[in-house]
Amino acid sequence: MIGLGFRRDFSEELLAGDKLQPDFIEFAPENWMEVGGYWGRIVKEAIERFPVHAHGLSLSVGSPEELDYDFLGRIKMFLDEFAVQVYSEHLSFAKAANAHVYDLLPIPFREDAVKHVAKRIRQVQDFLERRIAIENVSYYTPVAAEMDEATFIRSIVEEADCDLLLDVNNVYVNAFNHEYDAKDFITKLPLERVVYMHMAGHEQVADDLIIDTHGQPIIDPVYDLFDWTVQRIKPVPVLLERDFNYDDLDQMQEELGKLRSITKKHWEVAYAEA
Amino acid sequence: MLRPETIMIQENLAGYCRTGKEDDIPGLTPGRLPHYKRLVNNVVFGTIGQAFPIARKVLNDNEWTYLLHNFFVEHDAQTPILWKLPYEFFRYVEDQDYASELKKPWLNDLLWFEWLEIEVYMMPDHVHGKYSEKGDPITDPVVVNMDSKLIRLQYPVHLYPVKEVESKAGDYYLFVYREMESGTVRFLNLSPLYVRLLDLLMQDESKAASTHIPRLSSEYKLADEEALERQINNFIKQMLKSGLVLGFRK
Repeated sequence: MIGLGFRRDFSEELLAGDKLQPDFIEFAPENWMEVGGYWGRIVKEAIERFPVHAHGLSLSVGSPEELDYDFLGRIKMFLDEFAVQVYSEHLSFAKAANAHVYDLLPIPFREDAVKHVAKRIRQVQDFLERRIAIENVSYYTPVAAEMDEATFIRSIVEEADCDLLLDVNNVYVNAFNHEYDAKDFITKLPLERVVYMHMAGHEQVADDLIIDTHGQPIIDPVYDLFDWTVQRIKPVPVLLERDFNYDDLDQMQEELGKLRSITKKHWEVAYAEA
Repeated sequence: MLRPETIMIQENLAGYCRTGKEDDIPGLTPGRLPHYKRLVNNVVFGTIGQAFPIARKVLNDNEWTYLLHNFFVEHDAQTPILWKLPYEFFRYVEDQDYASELKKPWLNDLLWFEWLEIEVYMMPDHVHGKYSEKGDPITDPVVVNMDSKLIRLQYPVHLYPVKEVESKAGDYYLFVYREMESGTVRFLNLSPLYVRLLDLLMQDESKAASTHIPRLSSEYKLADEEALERQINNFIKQMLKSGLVLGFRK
């Protein structure tokens, strides 16, 4: 299953079904919950047409403060109304000192943060009455780290007993920005917990820095890393994320096709034999 | 439990994104922190700028940047839904009375007017129940389009360019509504009499316009109830065409 993040800019083409043909779509609940009118109708049409996954932006599981249970209740309604199959959030924080900042900030890789975030994820899972998947995020600087990133992610996912959304582009971006080996990093993750994967493009803005923009086509080294990774995990849905630069939808469809052929190559053969 | 030091580091990082003040954040890669400030500013300032294109245009760059900067530094953004953040910006500007400080008395009305277009465009669909497009405007209960907002402005920012509105201060009633079919947001400038009528009709959907005529006649000192009835009849027929009235309850 190869999916595409639902965006207003290409919603008509997506529903027309000629230029873009994903197997499922992904919504950010924050952008689509409690919406009526024109977009309410478009969304209803989309969820009748495609299986739906949801990828949250603002739950802020890494925040120091209490969870926002009012918001969580609205998320729960969204997940039910949209018949969402996989709900995922970022392993980051977007709110601190009682204020949202609307970006994914890196959590300090520390033992107390592991315990705190794992507890919050368990609370979220209990409230939603479902498992959630947590995504490894891209980050541009570590913050007060006392352990390595892979250990941090593994510890949280295991202690929270949640699933993992593996974003291969984020691994590539982080490996480049922080000078580590992407494959070595991936082997240290709890790959048996991966239930969902993300792929996207990025932009190199300096000799030593890539920004995870989701605005460009996926580059070949990220496809190579994806190909390598796919061989090490069970079949899961894979999503193409694109947040702007929608001029060439044919090229986006090609990306979906390329992801499909890589997963087919490894997963159909391996799991057919099994 | 998070250690106080970890909480402080996280709050300092988020605080830096808001204020640009780099408090104690250990273990950073040199030169990388400003990217977070840039990315956060792009999201927050971009969202607010897109929500208020007229205000952005009529305020000069210094005024606009001043408002945005103060808002993001002083106001703790509460909504987890980014597209609703411009509403918090409007309320902040109003609460802090920047209209007086910047000597732009129409500023609050302009921001409210611009925000309402977004709010009404996006608001959840009201369930109007069964109704017929045919009916008697006076004797049948009227179904008013509830995907709407009725507001009073002091400055007619919906009618004139802002450079002209300052001398036209008064009471302006505006019905902002969403067309059922297209989802397009429309604005209607209404007289106080019709605003009161719509308000009464929306308060109790089971009552027909005829039940409100004596009251309107008394409140607006219009002794000729027959003339008032004809006037209301024409108004409701017009509103049916424009989509502000959806039909009649049978």
